[in-house]
Amino acid sequence: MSLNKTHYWKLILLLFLVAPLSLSAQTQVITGTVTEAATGEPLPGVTVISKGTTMGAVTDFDGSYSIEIVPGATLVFSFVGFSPQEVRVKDQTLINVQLGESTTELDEVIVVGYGTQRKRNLTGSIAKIDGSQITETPVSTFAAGLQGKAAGVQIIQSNGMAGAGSAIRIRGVGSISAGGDPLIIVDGIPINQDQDGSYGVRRGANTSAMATINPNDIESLEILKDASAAAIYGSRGANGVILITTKRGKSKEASWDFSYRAGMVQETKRLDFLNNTEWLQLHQEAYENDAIYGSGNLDAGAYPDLPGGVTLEEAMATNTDWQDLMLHNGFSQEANLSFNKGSDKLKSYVGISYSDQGSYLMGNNYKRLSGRANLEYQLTDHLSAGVNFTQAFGVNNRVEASWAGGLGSAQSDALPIWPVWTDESTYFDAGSNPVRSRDNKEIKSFENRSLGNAYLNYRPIDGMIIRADYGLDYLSLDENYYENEILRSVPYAESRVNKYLSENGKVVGTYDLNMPENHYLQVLVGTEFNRTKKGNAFLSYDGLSDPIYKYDALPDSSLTREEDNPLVMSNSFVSFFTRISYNYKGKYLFSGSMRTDGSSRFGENNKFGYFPAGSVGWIVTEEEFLEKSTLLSFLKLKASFGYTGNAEIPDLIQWGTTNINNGITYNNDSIIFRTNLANPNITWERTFSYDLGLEFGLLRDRIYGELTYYNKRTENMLLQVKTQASSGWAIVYDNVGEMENKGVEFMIKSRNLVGDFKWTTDLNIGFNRNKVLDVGTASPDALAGTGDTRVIKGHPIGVNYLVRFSHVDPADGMPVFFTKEGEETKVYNVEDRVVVGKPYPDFIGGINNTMSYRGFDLSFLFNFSYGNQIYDDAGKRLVGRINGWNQSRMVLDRWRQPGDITDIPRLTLDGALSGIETDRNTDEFLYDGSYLRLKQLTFGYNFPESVVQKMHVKNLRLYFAATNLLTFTKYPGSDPEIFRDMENVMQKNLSPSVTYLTPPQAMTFNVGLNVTF
Amino acid sequence: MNKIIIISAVVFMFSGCENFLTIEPTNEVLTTEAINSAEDIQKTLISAYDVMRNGNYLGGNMWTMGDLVSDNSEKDFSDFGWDQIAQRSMNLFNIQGRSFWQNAYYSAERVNYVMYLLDHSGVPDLIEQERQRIEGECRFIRAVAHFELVRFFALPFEADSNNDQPGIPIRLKPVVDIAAATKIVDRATVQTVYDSVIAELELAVDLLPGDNGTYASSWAAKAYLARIYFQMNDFDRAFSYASDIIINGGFALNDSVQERFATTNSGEAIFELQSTSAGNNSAGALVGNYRQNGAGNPGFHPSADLVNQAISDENDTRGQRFYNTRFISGTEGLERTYCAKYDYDYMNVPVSHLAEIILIRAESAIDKSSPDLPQAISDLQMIRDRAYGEGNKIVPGNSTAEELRNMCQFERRLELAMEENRLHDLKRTKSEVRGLPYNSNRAVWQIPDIEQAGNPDIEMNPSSD
Repeated sequence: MSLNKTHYWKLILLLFLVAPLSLSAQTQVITGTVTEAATGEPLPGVTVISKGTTMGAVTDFDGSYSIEIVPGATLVFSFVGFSPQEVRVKDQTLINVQLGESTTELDEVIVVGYGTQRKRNLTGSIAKIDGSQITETPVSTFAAGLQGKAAGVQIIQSNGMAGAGSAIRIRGVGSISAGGDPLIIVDGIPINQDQDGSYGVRRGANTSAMATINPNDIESLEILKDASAAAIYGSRGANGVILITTKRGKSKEASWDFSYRAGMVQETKRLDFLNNTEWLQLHQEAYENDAIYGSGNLDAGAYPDLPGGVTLEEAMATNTDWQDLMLHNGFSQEANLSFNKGSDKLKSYVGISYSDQGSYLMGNNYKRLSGRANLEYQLTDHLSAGVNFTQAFGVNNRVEASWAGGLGSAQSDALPIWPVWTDESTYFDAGSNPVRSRDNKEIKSFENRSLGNAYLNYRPIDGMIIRADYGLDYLSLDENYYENEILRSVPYAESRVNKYLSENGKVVGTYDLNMPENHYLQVLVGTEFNRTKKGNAFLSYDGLSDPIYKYDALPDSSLTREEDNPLVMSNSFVSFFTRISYNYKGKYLFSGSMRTDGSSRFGENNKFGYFPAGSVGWIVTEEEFLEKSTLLSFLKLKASFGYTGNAEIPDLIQWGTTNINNGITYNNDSIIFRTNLANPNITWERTFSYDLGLEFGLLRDRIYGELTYYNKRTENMLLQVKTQASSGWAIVYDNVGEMENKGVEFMIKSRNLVGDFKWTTDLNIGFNRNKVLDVGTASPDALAGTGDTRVIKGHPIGVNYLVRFSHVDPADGMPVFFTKEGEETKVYNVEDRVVVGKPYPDFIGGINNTMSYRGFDLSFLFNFSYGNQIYDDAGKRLVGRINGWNQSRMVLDRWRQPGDITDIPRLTLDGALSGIETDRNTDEFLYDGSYLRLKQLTFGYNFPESVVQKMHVKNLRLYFAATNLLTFTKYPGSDPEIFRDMENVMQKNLSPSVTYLTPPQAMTFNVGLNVTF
Repeated sequence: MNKIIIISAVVFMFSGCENFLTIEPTNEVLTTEAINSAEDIQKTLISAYDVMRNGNYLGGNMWTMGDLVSDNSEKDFSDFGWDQIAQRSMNLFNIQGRSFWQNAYYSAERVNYVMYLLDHSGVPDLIEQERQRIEGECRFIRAVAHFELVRFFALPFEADSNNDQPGIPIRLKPVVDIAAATKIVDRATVQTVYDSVIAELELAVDLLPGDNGTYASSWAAKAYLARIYFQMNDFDRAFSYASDIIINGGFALNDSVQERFATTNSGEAIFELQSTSAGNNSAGALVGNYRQNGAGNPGFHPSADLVNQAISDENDTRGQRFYNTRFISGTEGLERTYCAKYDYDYMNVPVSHLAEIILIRAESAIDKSSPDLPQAISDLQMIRDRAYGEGNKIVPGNSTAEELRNMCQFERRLELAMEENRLHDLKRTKSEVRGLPYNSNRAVWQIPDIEQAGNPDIEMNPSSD
């Protein structure tokens, strides 16, 4: 690139002078209006330039422009998202132009940090998902709708319960003790994501703080993956950034959209358990085994007592299918109504939505009522003001799950020999009875989210926009829990409230300099602050006859505990940032950005962080030597690098704190003790990453694809450093770790058929390799995840660290293990644990096919995950130890007599007596977690215009949609897509693919209609 | 123009940043501002007592662990950690071992910090006498922690050896910053740990007053010294400390064996952990483990072996009061004998008391370098008179040393049943621990994972013999 001196000065002048420059005396003035071809609406902001000159103009609010040109010039009209148009000027003075929406991907507008760009000019790695793609099938959170749709973006739904939480991992996981989810920004406001899980993990399952964001309000969602795209978010960008843009008024005429959907919810898989006869047989066999082989001097001829005090006769007459009593066909429905108008001075989008998301678990559903108003008003030609606001109420009727009961209990400690009722009105209570628990407990949470911002857009001169913005995000969760007099002699009621309030304010100035033909420069400067308050409250009562939420006024007398921690300031951020984008002749692209972040979370020695990034791109097809290529219509090579940070570290860990007001007394004397050691050095995690990529279009962009290599290296990783417990401080926080993620992403979109019968295929696949490079002095057990996952230097994060199982000794049915050195042993010893698996896959992806013919359309999305292992943390108790739990039917293949060859050891009632270690964590319970799943299937019909016009509507569509219809996997458990209760960020980073009676995903079948009128 | 606005905005914001970016905790105070008076130091000291009574340490589980791993106690439930203890296969994940380790060291850490405050807090109102008393309590508390830990986590001290087997890390320095917390400390030898504990207690004896309310006094320190020397088979010193306490301490045996448990700070109490209400119960874990007069059945009960001895003499009030044979609730007709020492809503934990000291003196008198059998006989008689009724069980005046030793150990087991001593008595006398050699690795707890986590190279105990 070379700028001659004149151009250079023009550039400088343009930067600082407001008035346009007039360079020629012989000019004429052309005026006109630019409208959108499809709607006839005026298009503001269209660039109009005189080809080959520096003369240019931009259409104003009503689409009109005025430009001075030399006679005979050619005008070029261009606008992001539309195909550019050229008009040769003859004698006209009025030129009206209609721009058609671009059909090629490359003209799409992509939302980037604090702005937008055309996809063609992007040098960062950003995936865009349209809102319609997310809501194609019923999802309770937008995250669930992202599955399989973007390369390198892994979404793991925790389970299939209504409103369940999920983990989002972009290009692997880059943290151990700090949050691993991307930053999520809705219309410019970073929202509370509840990364630390304090919001909704209770009773064996968690809910998502994102369930209050209505997916139907989303216009588009951009995922910023590489450093050059995310570094503008500085210390919060290292896990990637998801930018959510909600719908705004854009249609010319006022239009109303109504949609309704209803459907059925089932579990993806039901597990097989023993019936009463089998259980009794095996119970007896286990007892006999213990008598024969064990050390307990048992009488082999006797029959053991049955648990729960039932007699053999009763047990033989009872065969309860507990799963059946927990599961049903759930019902879901959802209705949305919205109004949209984009002409005139007021642009408005107003919507209201109600959803009632059922689940396959009886008693479980999530209801959300939400409304949104996005309004923008043009005050003057230079000034507009707007608000985006949404208010949502969620009610989650929860049930217990996993280890806490419910289906988890039905799949474990509720025995088939036990009845639900001992007589007509008395629940069986001598053993686990999940029906009794469910019927007599109420777990209900109420959510309230208000999210909105108000802004001013000031356009002092063409090309310059200054935007001031102030936003709020309020979120509260009130979880009520109640046990009635059947479960407790005195009924118990509690209410737990978690509250968050964030403020965000920013001022951003953007200056676009479009120097015709050769130079395009955009400069962005901005500053932002963000701060969050948190609060919580707890109340518990004995003896209330109803849950707390039913009371207007509560009696003081039965209050057992009351805590009220009002909202207090918890963290704050202040940032300054700038970005410069430049391209030369639309083929050489450069971008550089810099952000400075200060946060209250960082220690005083590290208060501010600096996050630079840069990227370059070369659109090779703009070069002459490729201009004529008919095969290769587009080729861009790009590279980026930069630093990003992760500030998702606990709020107050830098402070040395002492608890002086704890209410604890010893011998009636009060006490003082320290709770945290000061660490003034505590700071963000720092990630250096670089990307190399190419984008290509073939056959006039009918085939479009991207291939990217990335390498991310996280340093200064925040660790929960485990000190020797003898120091008196089990955990201190420090920045000591190092980790690497590198991988390849590939996506291709092919419009296979484009005639009457249209067929498009999208494929994306992301490979990621994670490696822990340094964890300081940590031992293998120092950084431990639920279900025996560990962090061990040189291995991927969260490896399964287990004793290896060899075989079952045919002589006595004992399990045989491998020692660390690989020798066989019958002694289970935790010192023989080795790395045997990993929880994150080698690659993930999705393939979506969309077909349409006339009014009919069909699409089906498969997603896949390959190469991870699933550890069944409950497995050791489901196979072989007939003590209090029902058994998986796998146990039928057990060893029974000398000579039997099998992988299932002999049965035992009591590990202590039989000599079989029943509390063993071995790779017997580790499974291949790979799967291929038909995630979404949609079949729809759009009524032809002739029909809908008679009905006085603009558009009418009916469809059928299903999720999780088919799953192909070798995993024998309930569902290969698993995340155990995610109690905190570290567990969430370390232990995906670990199950403990975790409820499976939901399979749904829905019919719906969309009407526009 | 616009740039100027932006620049001035930036400058303005930078100046306001420092305040904006400082958010201090609200429900706690900064450690640098927490200690402002002698009273604050005293409160910090009391917090160490609050840890001592933790259910996993002196508040109960530590006692139950020793009784279950040996032959005093059995359990009626299944649990990962307790199963390991019953089976003597405690690995680094043993929950009871881990929690005991953590809390014992936590108590040491709290007093180490108190001693740091004595030197560094600069509070004006601390008088020298108070200072000494506080330091004495600190030394006592951390000595107790190290001694109890080394008995559980290391092979036993043996009088005729140099005791260079690995003991436990010695923690006598305050941890005031992250560097100190992460500094590696390896296991000292058992000999070094005992030396350190004794030195600490000897200093505590000098620093502490004889009467310190219900907090540790010089007698409490002496009682621990007697116990430690006794454990070391250093009978001369054990005798001498025990004698000092008996003669000069002003303690007297209660009339009834039950008073030690039923009454707080009774006449024979030397050091007790205090309980002030059911909600503030130092003996919570003991009560939880053994209480048999409440609803349902306790998780632990005395072994048949112990019960047989305890109820062998119908005059024995210990057998009458501390053992209750009843139906197991929820069964039809199955009987079991439970321990009734801890049948209270709340109670003090009798950490040191005169009965134990008398038994130490009795046995030490037999085996000290200049044996004093008459002393042993009269001490033993004192215990017997209270237990069986005066004159009901006379120690024969012509008993041999061996007979006397057996009688002492018999009474000791019954007198101190479910009070921790059994495991350590078996090791002290090189007796089998329920089928295991006294020095079996399986009768020693493994160094817990939470210790290894910060010191991956710490020497672990062998997992088998």
